[in-house]
Amino acid sequence: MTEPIAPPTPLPRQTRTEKRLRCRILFREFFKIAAFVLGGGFAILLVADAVFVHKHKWIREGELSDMLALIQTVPGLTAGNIAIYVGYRAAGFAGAFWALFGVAAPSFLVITVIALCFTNLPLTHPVVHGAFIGVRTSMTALTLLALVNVWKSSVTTAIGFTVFVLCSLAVLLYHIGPGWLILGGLLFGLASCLFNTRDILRAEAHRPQS
Amino acid sequence: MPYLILFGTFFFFGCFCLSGGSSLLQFYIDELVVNRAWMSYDELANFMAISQATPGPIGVNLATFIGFRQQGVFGGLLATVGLLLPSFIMMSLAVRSYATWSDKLWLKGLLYGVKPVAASLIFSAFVVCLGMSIFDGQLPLDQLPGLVSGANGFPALPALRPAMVALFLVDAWLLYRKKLSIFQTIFLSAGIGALLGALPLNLL
Repeated sequence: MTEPIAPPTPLPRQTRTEKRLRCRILFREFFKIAAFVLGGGFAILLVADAVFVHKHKWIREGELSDMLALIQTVPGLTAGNIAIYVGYRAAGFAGAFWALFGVAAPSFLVITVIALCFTNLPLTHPVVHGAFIGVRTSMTALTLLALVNVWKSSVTTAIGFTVFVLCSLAVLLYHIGPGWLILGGLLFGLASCLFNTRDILRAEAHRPQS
Repeated sequence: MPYLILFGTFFFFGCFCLSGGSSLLQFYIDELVVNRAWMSYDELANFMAISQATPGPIGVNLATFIGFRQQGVFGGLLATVGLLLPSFIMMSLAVRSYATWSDKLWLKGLLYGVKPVAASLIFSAFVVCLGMSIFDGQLPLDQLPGLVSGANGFPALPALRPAMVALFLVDAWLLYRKKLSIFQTIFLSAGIGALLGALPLNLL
């Protein structure tokens, strides 16, 4: 049985030692998740759900959809945002910090070692070159998959589609900085609040509930 | 000073990283490849390939890599912290006060305006990736406006890699239909690519 989702849940009072313990566990769990779950993003979400909802029970079961909504709203890497959400819910600011630290630490260690060796890599060797081209091709397929996943919740009305096409043309044909486009999108959204509320609500209604 | 520029650049990326890390690629190309010339398309493509195939979230890996190449170990640290700091601040505040703003019209409006833009950034990232994998170089799309107005002639197209077109289609099918994990897809593709490179057929 799942309780109805109630967002305003104040954190229960925790003693200092309990909080410290939680921070340590958060760091350890997220370090493990980041180090062993390849692929990032939503693969991490499922593992984090298993660990923190079912194993530690720091997060209620119905909270996953709230978490998804927040992760998709606030700018940031998916993996980082998951860590911050879980960490904050478990132990406040300190928890968010340690969870995020845990997510970033394995990358930092591994990449530093690889980057040190990278200059000696025989990139022109046909086998190494082939492997790199192969990974780049899988990356192209992954980006397409990301687009398909984002599409359903992003481009839901005719106006949204028009914005999508115009922005794609602006980036690909005219090299307009993506930051300007996002700022433009934010302003357009605010203007729509004043002049075209109907389309906002329509877009909202078409958005699949995750 | 270079440290400050590095940190500031990645802080800026962190502020605008919507709909996950995929939309960041367009920022990297615009800012790091085109505007600052810190690296070429080909180098960026190789960094991305390594970030994909190593443990850790791809976005963090790539930021560390670029930072390291720019300013060494400390540079890698600064880039990573810079990228994650904005979301740390915003996300913590957002979780804390979720209830008070989750249903406001202005928030829905902002998302309504910005989500198609984020989708278009991922789409252009996809087009750039095409130029890094199944084509031998970037597609000359920025020449199109000149072509239409008659200012310049038909641009030379990069060479196509037919073997990679097939691999791309197989990868897309495996990911979408067969729900193969990202990990398996990456290593399968790396293996096939290495095999094709080893064959004396000059396929790549």
